[in-house]
Amino acid sequence: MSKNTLSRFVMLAVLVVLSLGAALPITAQDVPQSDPSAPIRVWVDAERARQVQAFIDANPDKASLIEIINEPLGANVQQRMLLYNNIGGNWPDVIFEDPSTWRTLNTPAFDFFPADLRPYIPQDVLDQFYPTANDPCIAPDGSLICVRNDIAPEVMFYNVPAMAEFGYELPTTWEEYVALAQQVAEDHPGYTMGQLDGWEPQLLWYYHSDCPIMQPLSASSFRVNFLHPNCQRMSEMLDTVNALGVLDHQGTFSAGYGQIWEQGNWLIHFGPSWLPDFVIKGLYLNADDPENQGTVGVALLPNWADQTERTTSNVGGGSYAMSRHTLNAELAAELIVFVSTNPDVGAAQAATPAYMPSAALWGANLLTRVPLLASDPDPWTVISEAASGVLADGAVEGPPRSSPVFSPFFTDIAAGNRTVVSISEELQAGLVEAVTTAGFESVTDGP
Amino acid sequence: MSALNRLTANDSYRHNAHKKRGTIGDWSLLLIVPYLIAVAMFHLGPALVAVIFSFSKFTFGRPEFFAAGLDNFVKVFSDPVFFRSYGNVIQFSILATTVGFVGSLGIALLLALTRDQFGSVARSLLFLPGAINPTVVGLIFIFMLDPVVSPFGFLFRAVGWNATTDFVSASNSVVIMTALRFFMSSGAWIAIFYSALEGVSQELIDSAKIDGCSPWQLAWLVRRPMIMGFVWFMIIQLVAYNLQIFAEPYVISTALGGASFIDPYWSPNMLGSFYTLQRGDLGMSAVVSLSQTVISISASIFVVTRTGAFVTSTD
Repeated sequence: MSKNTLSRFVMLAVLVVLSLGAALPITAQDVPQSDPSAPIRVWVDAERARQVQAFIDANPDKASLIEIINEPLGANVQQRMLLYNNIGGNWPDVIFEDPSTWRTLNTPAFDFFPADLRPYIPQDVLDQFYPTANDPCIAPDGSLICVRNDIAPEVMFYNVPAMAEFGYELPTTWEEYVALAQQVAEDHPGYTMGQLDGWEPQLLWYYHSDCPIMQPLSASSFRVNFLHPNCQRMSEMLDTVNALGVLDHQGTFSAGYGQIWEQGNWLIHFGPSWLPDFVIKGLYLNADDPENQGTVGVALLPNWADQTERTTSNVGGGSYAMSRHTLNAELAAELIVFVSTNPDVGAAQAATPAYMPSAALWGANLLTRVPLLASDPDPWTVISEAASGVLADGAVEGPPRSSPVFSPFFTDIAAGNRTVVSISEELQAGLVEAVTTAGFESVTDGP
Repeated sequence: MSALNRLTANDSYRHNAHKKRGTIGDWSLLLIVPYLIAVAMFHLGPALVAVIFSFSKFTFGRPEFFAAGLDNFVKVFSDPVFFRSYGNVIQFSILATTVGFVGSLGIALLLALTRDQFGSVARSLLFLPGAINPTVVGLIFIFMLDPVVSPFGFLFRAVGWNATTDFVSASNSVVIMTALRFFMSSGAWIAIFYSALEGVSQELIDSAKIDGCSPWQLAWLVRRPMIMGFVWFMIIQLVAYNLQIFAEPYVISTALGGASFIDPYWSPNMLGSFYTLQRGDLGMSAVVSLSQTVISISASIFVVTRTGAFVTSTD
C-alpha cells in the first residue's frame, strides 16, 4: 500500500504544480522602453494587409522592420489580449479592428491596451476626417485610441424606374415616408419599402431618430431610455408601416430579398454606404444585365419633420490602433497615419474611407465600380453629405453594446410574433441589463 | 472500494485470487497514470484554478489572489442576466434531456429489433453527426434552417415557413437549440444504448421468446429494465452536458453577428465567456463555472444515492 500512498502523493504534487503554473502570472513590465530600430508586428486582415504593403512599398528602408500577421477581423482579440497581459509580452504593435474593440480594450481589465495617438497626428490632419468619424476612437479622457479607416453612413436607396412610373416623390421626412407607404399599400401592394429584420435595428432605425439608446454621460455611466418619445415615435412608425405590409422580413442578406430586387418589386431600402459595392451588386441585382444599369438611386435618409439637422447612423467601419507596449511607437504611428490618410491607399480600399481627401478619390470611382447606381443625383455627393451628418451618438458603441439586445427582439418582430411597441419595456430592461452586466451604470430618465 | 472489499470478503475463492494477484496489483496502477495525469491537467487543475480565481480580483487583467473575498459571488448573483441565462438552459435542459432520452432510447430499441442490412446502415448514419465537431455542426445548422437551401426546405414550406426569419427567432431559441443538440449528440447515445441492449443475456431473451414474447414486449419489458443503469447514467450526463451548452449558441451568435437571435449571455457558459472577454474578469467567470459544477455534482449525487440504479452490493 505504500506505493499507493506514494502515487497519490505524486499525483497531488503534480496537481498543485500544474495549477500554480496555470494560475501564477509572470509580472508584466509596465514601462516600455523606446527603440527606433525595433521591429513591429502588424495584425491585420487580408484587405488591410494590402494597405500595410503599400506603406512597405513606399518605405523600402523600413521593410525589414515590419512583420505582417494576417488575422481575420474579430479573431478573439480580447481573449488573446488577456493572455498577452498575463504573460506580460507578445502584444502586436498595430492592430486593425472594430472601434468598439478598442473601447473595450481601453479599460482597466485590459490594462488600457491602446496608446494615445494624439501626439503623432496633427489636429489639422484629424480635421480632414468626416466630422464624427473618429468619435468612437476618442476615449472618455480625451485620448485618441484609434484612427478610423472607413465609415458607413446610412442612406436611402430607391428604385428609379418604379418611382418614376408610379409618379411618387421621394420622402424626405418619416412623416412623408409613412404617407407614401399608405399610398403604396393601396395602389401597388406587393412593393417593399424597407427591410425589418434582426440586423442592427438600433443603427438602421433608432439612433438617427435622436433616441437615447446608450448615450455616454461619463466614463462609467450611460443614458438608457428606450421609452423616450424620440424612440417611441420610431417604434410606432415601424408598427404602422409594417401593418401596411410594405416591409420585408426575410433578412437583409437573404437570397429571398434579393429575388424581390431582381423582380423589380422593391421601391425603397435603407442601408449603409457599402451596400452598393458588397450587396446590391451581386446579391440583389445582376450587374451584367444592361436593364439593371442606373436603376438604383441614392438619397439622404428621411428625418423627422422637427429634426433641424439632417442626421444618420453609421453601420460599420474599422480602425487602426497602436499598442501602448510598443517599443517603436514612431514607426507604428507613422504606419497608421500613412494607411489612414494616404489618398491612393484610401481610394483603392473596398469601404468608404473616413479621411475626406481619400474618400473624394474613392467616391469618384463609385459609378464606374457599381454601374447599377443612377447618376443623377450623383450618388457619391449624397453619400458624402450623409457621412458629414452621422450623429455622434450613433457613432459610439461599446462597451456596453446595444446590438446584442436589439437583434434577438427584432427577430421576433420579423417572425411576426411581436410588435415593436409591445417589446419596448422588455427591450428597455434588456438595455439596462446590458449596461449593468458590462460593468457600467445606467440613467433611465432625462432628455 | 468498500463495496469491492465486502464482496471479496464474502467470497473466499475470490479473496484468494485477489491475494495471488496482489503482487502485480500495484503495477497495474501504472496503467491509469496517463488518465490521472489528463484528469489533473484538464479537469482537476482548471477546477482548482477556478476556485482560486473565484476569490481573486482582476484589476489589470492579472489576478490578485484571494483579494476579492466574496465580491465576485455577490456581483454575479446580483446580475439579473445570470438568472436569465439559467432560466434559458433549464428550459433547454428539460426539453433537450427529454427529447434526447426518449429519442435515443426509442431509436436504439428500434435498432435492436432489426437484424438486416438496413439496421447496420441506419446505425452508421445515425452515428455520423456525432462525429462532427459541434462548432461545425452549429454553422451547418444555420443553413439547415434556411428553407431556401435546406434539404428539409419542403417540410418548412409545408407549414408556411418560407424564410429563415419566419421561425428562427429569439422566442424559438430553446427549441432550435434542442433540435441542434439532438441531431448532434443522439448518435452517440443510440450507440451506447444499442450496445447495452445487445449486452442483455441471450438466454434471457431466448426464454422470453419461448414464453411467447413479442418483439415490442421484448424491447420494453425485458431489455429496457436491464439497462436502467445506463439510463440514469445518460440522464446525469445529459443534464450536465445540456446545462453547459456553449459551442452551438456561441458559434451561431458570432456567425450571425449583428442579426443574431441569441444574445451573448444566453447560457451560463456564454455569460462566463462574456465576463471574461468583455470585462476581462476571470473571477466572475469562475463563479459562473463553479455554479454549474455545484448543480451538476448535486444532481449526480442525488441520482446515484437515491435511484438505486448504481448499487454495487446487495448485502
